Amino acid sequence: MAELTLESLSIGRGDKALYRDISLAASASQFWGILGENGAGKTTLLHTIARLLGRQSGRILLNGVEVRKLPRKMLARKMGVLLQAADSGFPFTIYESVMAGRYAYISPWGKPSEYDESLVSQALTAVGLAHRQTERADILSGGEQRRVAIATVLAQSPDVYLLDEPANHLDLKFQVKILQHFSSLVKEHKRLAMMTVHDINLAARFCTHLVMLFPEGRWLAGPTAKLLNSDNLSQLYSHPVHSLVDGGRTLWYPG
Amino acid sequence: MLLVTAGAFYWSLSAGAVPVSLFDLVQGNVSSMEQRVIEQLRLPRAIAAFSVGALLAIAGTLMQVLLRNPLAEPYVLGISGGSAVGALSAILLGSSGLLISMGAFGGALVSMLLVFALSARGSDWSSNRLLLTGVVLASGWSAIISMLLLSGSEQSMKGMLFWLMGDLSNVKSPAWSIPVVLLALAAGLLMAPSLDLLARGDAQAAALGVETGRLRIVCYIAASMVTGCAVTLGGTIGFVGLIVPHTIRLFVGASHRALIPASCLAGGAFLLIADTLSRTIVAPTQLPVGVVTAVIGVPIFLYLLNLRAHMVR
Repeated sequence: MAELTLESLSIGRGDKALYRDISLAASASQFWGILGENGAGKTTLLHTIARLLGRQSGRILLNGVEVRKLPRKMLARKMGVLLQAADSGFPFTIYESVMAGRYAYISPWGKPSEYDESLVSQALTAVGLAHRQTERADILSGGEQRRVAIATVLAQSPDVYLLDEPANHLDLKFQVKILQHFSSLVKEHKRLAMMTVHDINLAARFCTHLVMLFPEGRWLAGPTAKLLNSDNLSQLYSHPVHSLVDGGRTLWYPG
Repeated sequence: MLLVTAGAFYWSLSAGAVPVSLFDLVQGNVSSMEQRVIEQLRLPRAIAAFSVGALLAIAGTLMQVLLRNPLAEPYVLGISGGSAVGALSAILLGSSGLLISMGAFGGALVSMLLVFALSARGSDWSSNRLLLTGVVLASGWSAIISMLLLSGSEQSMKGMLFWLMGDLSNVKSPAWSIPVVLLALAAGLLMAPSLDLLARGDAQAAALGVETGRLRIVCYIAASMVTGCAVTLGGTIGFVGLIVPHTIRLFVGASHRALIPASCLAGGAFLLIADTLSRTIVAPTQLPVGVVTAVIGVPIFLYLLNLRAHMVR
C-alpha cells in the first residue's frame, strides 16, 4: 500500500523556477493525471518525484520515507518510471529489454527466478509482444518500442507507477488497452499511478485525481470530478475548451 | 571460441623461423635450442599478444557502453595519448625496457586523472561531456607526440614509431598480465547487469535501480586501467578495441554477460593470430603488429557490418 506525499515541492528546469510549493497526498488505488501545456513542467514534475533530476526543494515522501534517502535499488522496487523516450542503440532483444525491469531484484551474479520470468512473460502478453520476444528491440517501430518500455515497467511491478505520456505513439486500440491495464492494477492490486497526459478525454476516462499545471506558476490538485470543468481547462490550455455529453460520458473538445 | 583461441596459441608457438611441432615438445623430441626458442621467445610473446588483445577488447566494450556509442574505443579518451607521451619521452631520453613501460603506465594514469578531474565537476557527469573532454585531451597529447617524434634522432624515431604502431617483440616477462586479464574479466562480469541498463541511458538505468554516478566512475576507471595495462605491454595497437567488441556484438547480442567474456577471448585470439602473422608473413622482417591488425581487421569488420545490415532488412 503506497502513500506518496509531496510537501511544498518546488520544481524548475535549469535555473528557471516553474512551480512553487506543490503539496499533495496520493495513495494506493488512485490514478493521477498531470495536465498542462507543452513545456509547463509535467515531465519535470514526474522526473523530480522519481529523483531523476538533481535539485529540488521541499520533500517527497514515499510511505513516510524521503525518496532522496533511498538507495536506487530500493527505490526501483517501490517506484517504476516510464520515460517519454527510450533509446538504446545497442542490439538488445525484446525479452532482454523487458527483463531489465527486474534488475533491482536479481543479484549481479544471479539468474532471473521463475517469478521474474513469469512477470516478464505476463508483461509481454499485456502489450501484445509475447510471440516476438527474441526480436531485436532497437529496430522496432516507435509504437512497438513504446510497448517494450511499457512492458519493462509492468515487469518491474512497483507500488507506484510514474508514467510519462504512456499513450504516446500508440495505436488507438493500445492506448485504451494499456491505460485499462494500468487502471485495473490501480483498482484491483491497490497500486498508485501518476501519468502526464495530453489527451483530456483519456484523463477524464481513467484518472481519479488530477494535477493541473497552469501557465505562470499556478497549480491545482484534487479529485477529477472537482477539477475537470470548462473554466479550468480553458485557462490551463489558454484556449476555450467545451464539453459534450454523449451516452453518459462527457467529451471535451477545443473551441 | 575456446577452440579458436587454443588453435591460435598452437600456431603462434609452432610457427616461425624455427618450426617446432608441439607434440615433439611434449614428448621431449626437441633440441635444447628449439626448447629455448619456445620458452624464452615465443611463449612470452604469445602470452603478451593474447593478454593485450583480451584487455583491449574488454576496455573497448566498457568504453562503448560508458559513452553509449558503439564506435567508441579504448583510446578515444586520450589514455593511449598520455601513455604514448610517457613512453616516447622515455625512449627519447635513451632509456629502454622497464623505464619505457613505467613511462607508458604513468602517462596513462596522468591522462585518466586529468580527464576525470576536468569532466567530473558537479553532479552532471554525462557521456557527452566526458567524450568531449577526452577527445580534446587526446588531440593535445597527439600534438606533443608529434613534437617528441620530430625532436628525436633517427634511431630513436624508429623505436618511437614502432611503439606507436604497437610492438610485441620487446616483451620479456608478460606473466603479470594473466592475473590482470582475469581481474578485468571478473570486474566486467560483476558490472555486466548494470552495464546492460546503462546502455539504455542514464535516466532509464537510474529508474530501474542503478546508481549510475557510481557505476560510471567505476566503469571509467576500470576501462582506463585496463587500457593502461594493455598499452604498457604492447604499445598503442589499434583496431582491436574497436572492432572486436563490435563484431562480437553482431553475434552474441548486447548482453554484457555474454559480450565481455566472448570479446575477451576473441580479442586475445585475434591479436595472437595478427602477431604471429606479423612475424612470419615477410620473415625475417617483423612488421609492427598494429599494421597487421588494421590490414586484416578493417576489411573483415566492414564485411561483417554489411552482411549483418542485409540480414536485418
